[in-house]
Amino acid sequence: MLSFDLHMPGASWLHRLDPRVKLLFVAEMTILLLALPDLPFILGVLAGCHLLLISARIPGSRLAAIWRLMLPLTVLVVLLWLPLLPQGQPVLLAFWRLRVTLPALRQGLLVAARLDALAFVFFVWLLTTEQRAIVQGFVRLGLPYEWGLTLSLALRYLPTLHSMYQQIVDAQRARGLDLDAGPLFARARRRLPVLVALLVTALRSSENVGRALEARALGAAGVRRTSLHDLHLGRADGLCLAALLVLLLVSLTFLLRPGAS
Amino acid sequence: MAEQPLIVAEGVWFAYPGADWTLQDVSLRLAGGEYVAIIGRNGAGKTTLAKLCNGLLRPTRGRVCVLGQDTASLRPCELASTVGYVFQNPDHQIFAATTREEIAFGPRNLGLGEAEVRARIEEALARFGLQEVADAPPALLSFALRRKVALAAVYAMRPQALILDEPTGGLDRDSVHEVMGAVASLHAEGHTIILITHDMALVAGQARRVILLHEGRIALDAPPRQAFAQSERLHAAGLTPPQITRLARRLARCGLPADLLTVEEFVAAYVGQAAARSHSPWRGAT
Repeated sequence: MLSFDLHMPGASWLHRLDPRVKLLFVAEMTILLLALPDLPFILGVLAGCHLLLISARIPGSRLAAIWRLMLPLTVLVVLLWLPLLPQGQPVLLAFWRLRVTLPALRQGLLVAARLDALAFVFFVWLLTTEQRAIVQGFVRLGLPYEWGLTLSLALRYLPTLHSMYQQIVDAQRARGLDLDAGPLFARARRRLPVLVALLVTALRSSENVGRALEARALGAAGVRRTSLHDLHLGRADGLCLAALLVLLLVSLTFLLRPGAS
Repeated sequence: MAEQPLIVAEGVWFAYPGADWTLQDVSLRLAGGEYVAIIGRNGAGKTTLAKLCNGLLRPTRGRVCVLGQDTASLRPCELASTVGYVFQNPDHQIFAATTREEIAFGPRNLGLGEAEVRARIEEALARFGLQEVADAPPALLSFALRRKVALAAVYAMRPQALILDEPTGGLDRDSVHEVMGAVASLHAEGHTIILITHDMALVAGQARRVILLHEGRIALDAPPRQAFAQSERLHAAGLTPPQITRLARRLARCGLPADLLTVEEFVAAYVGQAAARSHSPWRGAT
């Protein structure tokens, strides 16, 4: 079955880190990557993320698989940028009306590297944090429990939904539905019986899950929930929070220095 | 010249991506008009074998032929008019706004004319007793009716073989009788029926041939009376003969045949014994 959960089980320091700290890391790095259009900084983040993942004993084969997914997108972004800044100098390539300049190449590489760095920041979080812990982190940061549970259920049911979709595709193909022939629009239109059946089945399942949760007293008034796996900030969490604070202060200093664009 | 078999599997091996073999070296021939039950515990490969028979899956090794044509060269939509498949969960196929439209979907996919489609809709509605809900949204019907709609929708394509995956799951006794009665009449008209089920009483009462799958291999292929006599093989595959067969076996010392399959057979044998011996055959039973 297709897995929608990126988490790789492990017992490394990064796996054990409080999910709230990792969430803060993701938020801070996202803001900094968007605010600092500086190639050395972006490449530094990218390298840092790889070091973090290696220290968490994420296998190299998994990192290679992520890069195989990212590479076509990276190349596409660079290629899309190439014709966008034709006025700059020096010109690297001129063909018909197309002018590829060094600033365009530089900008393309910058955007692509930023995209890869952002993706790897999220991979650090998702590869080393269980879905349950992700949701628990959100809840402890103030998200209502019911919302957290909904998020958790939505993540939990993604593989089920995918399997349901495959079953429905098979059921309709067995009734003579040809999903692969003809022009794109006709093929999309022919997916309608699959999508309607999927929607009806998903709604029926969600109603059943909702009733099962209510039958187990979810949302009962005047109840204060406890948690079997509570979150506690430890020494490693404190050190990471301090490191994040230092990084934020250094970055702000760099960002607000005289002459910064 | 011998009649061409409907479905032939030759040395079929199948594995889902990243998993071990689901089927290993499976070979079988199904003739037209057979009533076959495929049994086995969960994960034995029953549904996989059925999906190979209608081209939804293709063998990893070996080949499956339907009416002499290799399924590897055919798309499922091309096989749909020969081998129909009624899925375990009717909700996986129901999508239309009315039962009529649901039934019309398959015949229209086959490219039939409107007059023929309409005739098939009416015939399917009548056969499965769905006239009263013909214009109702099928998704809102009861589970038993949804199962009948799913069956009627596949039947309307008039396939030579019908694969029924757990057709009685979630049905009450009356609904089981109705659904299986309709299936029996289809078989009587010459359709091949391939039944996938865990209900051994249903197998004993309906099928003419039993194929037992165990760990991806065919462990047994015999008529039900012979198949259910092989308790050890069934037990190894996590199955037991129907209750009535086990009861008859326990009472064999009283003169009852040990290979009875249905309650009707049991009653007939009991009454026959009682009449012949003019005393209860139960005497001496432990």
